[in-house]
Amino acid sequence: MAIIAGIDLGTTFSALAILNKIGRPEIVPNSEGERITPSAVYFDEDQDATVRVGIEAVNCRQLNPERSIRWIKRHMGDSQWRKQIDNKAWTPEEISGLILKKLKQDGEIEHSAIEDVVISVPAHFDEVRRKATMDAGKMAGLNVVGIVNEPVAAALYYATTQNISGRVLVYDLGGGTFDVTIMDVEGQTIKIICSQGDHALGGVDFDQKILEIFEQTYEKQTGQKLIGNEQERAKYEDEAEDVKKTLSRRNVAKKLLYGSAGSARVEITRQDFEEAIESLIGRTEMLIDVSLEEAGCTGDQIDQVLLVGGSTRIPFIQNRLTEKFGKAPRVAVNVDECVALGAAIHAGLTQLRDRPDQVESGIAAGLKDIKLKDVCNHSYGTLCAPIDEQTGKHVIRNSILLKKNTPLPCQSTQTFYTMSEGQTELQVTITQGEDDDPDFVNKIATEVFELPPDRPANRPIQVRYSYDLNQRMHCCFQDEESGRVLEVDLAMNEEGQSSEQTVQQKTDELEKFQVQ
Amino acid sequence: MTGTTLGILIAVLTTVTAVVAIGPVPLRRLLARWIPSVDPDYFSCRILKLEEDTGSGYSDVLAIQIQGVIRAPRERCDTDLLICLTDVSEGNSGPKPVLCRRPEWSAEGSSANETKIHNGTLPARVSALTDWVTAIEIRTSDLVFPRRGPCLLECVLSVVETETGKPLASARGQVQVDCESRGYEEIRQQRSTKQAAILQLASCVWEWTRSNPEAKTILDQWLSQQSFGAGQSAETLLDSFSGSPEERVDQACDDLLGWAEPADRYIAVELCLTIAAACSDIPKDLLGRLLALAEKLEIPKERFQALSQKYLTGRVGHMEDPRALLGLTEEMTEPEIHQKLTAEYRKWNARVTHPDAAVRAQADQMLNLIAQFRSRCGRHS
Repeated sequence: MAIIAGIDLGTTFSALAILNKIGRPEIVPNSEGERITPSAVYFDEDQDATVRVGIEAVNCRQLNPERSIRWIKRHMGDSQWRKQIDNKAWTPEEISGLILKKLKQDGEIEHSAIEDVVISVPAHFDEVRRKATMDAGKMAGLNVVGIVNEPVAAALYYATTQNISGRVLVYDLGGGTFDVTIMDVEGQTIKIICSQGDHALGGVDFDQKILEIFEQTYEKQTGQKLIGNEQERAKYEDEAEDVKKTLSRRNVAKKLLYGSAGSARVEITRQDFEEAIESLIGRTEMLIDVSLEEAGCTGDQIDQVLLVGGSTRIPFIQNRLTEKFGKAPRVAVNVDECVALGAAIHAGLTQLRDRPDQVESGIAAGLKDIKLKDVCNHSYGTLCAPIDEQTGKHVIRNSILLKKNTPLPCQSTQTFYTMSEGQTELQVTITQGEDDDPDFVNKIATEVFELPPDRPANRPIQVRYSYDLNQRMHCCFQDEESGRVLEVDLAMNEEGQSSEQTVQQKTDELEKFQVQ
Repeated sequence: MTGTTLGILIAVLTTVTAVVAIGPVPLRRLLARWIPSVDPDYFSCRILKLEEDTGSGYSDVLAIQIQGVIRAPRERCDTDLLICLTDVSEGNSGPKPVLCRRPEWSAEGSSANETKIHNGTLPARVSALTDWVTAIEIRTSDLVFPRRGPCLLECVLSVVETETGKPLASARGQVQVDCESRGYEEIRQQRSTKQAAILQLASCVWEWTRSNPEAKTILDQWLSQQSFGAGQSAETLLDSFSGSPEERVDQACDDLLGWAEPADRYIAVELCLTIAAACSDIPKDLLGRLLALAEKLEIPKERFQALSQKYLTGRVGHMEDPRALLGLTEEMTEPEIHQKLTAEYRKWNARVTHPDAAVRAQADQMLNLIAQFRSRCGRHS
């Protein structure tokens, strides 16, 4: 039977876990013997078809930052982002595909073929980013059976391996993203209440604050700029990360900075660091407040706070959480691994639901009591033109049909009306986002719905959205009078080309590259 | 009744009346006493007020009718009816056109208070209408009068030769009507008042920006897109206000509230915000002044905040005090500030994954600003 695996495709580190014979998740070390792999890619300048992924890529980065990529997850789904290496413009999905290829390749050293996987994503990832993550998996030769939210994966791990119960808040502060999820746990039944996330808040932002201290100190002492080129920037970014880690263990970190005006000594205390990251921590606390508000509870009603992600090792964060909730947060043995471990459990649950005959009996027995009730990750709506009460004029507005954090599976139907006499076309737009202002929502699909001719205005159009257990959305527009139906396929790209074709093309291209 | 039907009626009546009309003069004069239409010089027009059942109610209709003799230069002369409507409430010294919204009144080469209807061929050189015949029916709701209120509407109806346009018969009729909607003169005046008020507000905001040159460019751009009424210019509009900027703002806001549509008030505020956004440095008190201006225009606070965020978020770095951008006021208590900041955080955090890099950057900037204010005002659980 096929191996059931889960992958945490993180901003700074990635990890692979599989389910053992009795359905318990285990981390699969990489070819260097490490349990987690840096999400870094380096394109070898001497060997065209060789790509270094992991620690080697991190080490090479300082030598040639132009051929190196880190924190690619922050660009996931960004259709504009490209990294030009030699004759190829690499997309974030392709680069992520290389990282996943390395995990798959290393995992297969000691196990049989790894194909069916669940990949974790931040809870706040939108439809485009989720799709991009799945595409990256396919490009790596994986069969992505599902996508799981990182805090949900972590909660699955905590709930099934540790003794937790009641209302739980998962505080997931990783290398580049931050998520808060509130859930009710009873035995092995996990009911997600809500998830909120901040896409641009994580360990790399804390590193950046330390880098700013380096630069300010050097300039103050020498009157010169510390960083003159990308190579120096890469070097000091890595050193800033070291200092951050040191400050989680000690009260002071010392460093000698070398720049164009010679050396300068810098001493950063834990207090300096805490002051520097205060506004970022403020952002995490606001997200907690938003989540508590969404869940309709207060901090006192949270029974346990679970920490996930490497950045939660920072003592300042743990202290602030203790202060906020009146109790110390709970830390797993390794906060870097619990997402991958939970993703493997989720993969098992998905296979058990969709293809039970493919799951070994031991695994099925190990997972049988776990029940997960998830929620819709985003609000989905459509553009319409109601009359503005204030101005008395028609305005374009985003009308939400499926509200974020609605328990899955869910469905919603609303009726809209045509605007003019003889209207034969209706532009339908599917949106993702919380705003009613169309400028601030993500328009994930736009199509033209052809209507019968010669009709008066105000003909009813029924719009039906549904969201399934696999976190996939379905949209249907129906002209009530004629019965005409338009089903919008969210898998089509802007050029109308099926994403399957594009992905297959890119998979073939990645085949040519050897990952080390 | 249409022109074609009118033509048929003329044909029938003409047969009878022509005999009389071409007879000896004394006989004609005698008959004309009893039948005016047979007076060879008689041609008359009248306007009747009718009610039309529209299915969902009744609508006022004006029926323009004619009676009398039409003399053509030749047999089988093709003719048109030319109808012109004017408001003569102020006497013949100042007749003003009454416009009609119907498409046939907007023909090229004619003014909107005139229309031409093809009448058809006259059956004889002298044709006569012994009864009143309806030439046209017009719904009063299709008419645009100069002003609201009572109006003496005059219709001049001429039968003209189609080929030459030469008048064959002409008459005028009058009727008293009550115009219930705003007249075009009022609309024009309203437009001018509105334009002046918006310009005045924009110019005051420009003064508040310490007469910033970039802001002036925006104001000039707006002016270049405006069309002014006859004898008007930006200068004359500005001259219609006097006093300090605050007094002029009060006056302009009063004008906009009294004369303009609600949408115009939003246009005014958006222009003011665009001018403010153009400044390289946004003075500390500007946002507060803009908020007060919006309040005077009865724009809800939340709407103003949404607008100001739309226009000014990209300028946060250039603002001396961006509190108003977050909807924070001096009177707020610390928990209220905290609550407001959380709400703002929720809003901007949902925008931070937007596909447009500019929106993402804007959202990121706002999130950092919110976090800064939050750490300044203390923490609350």
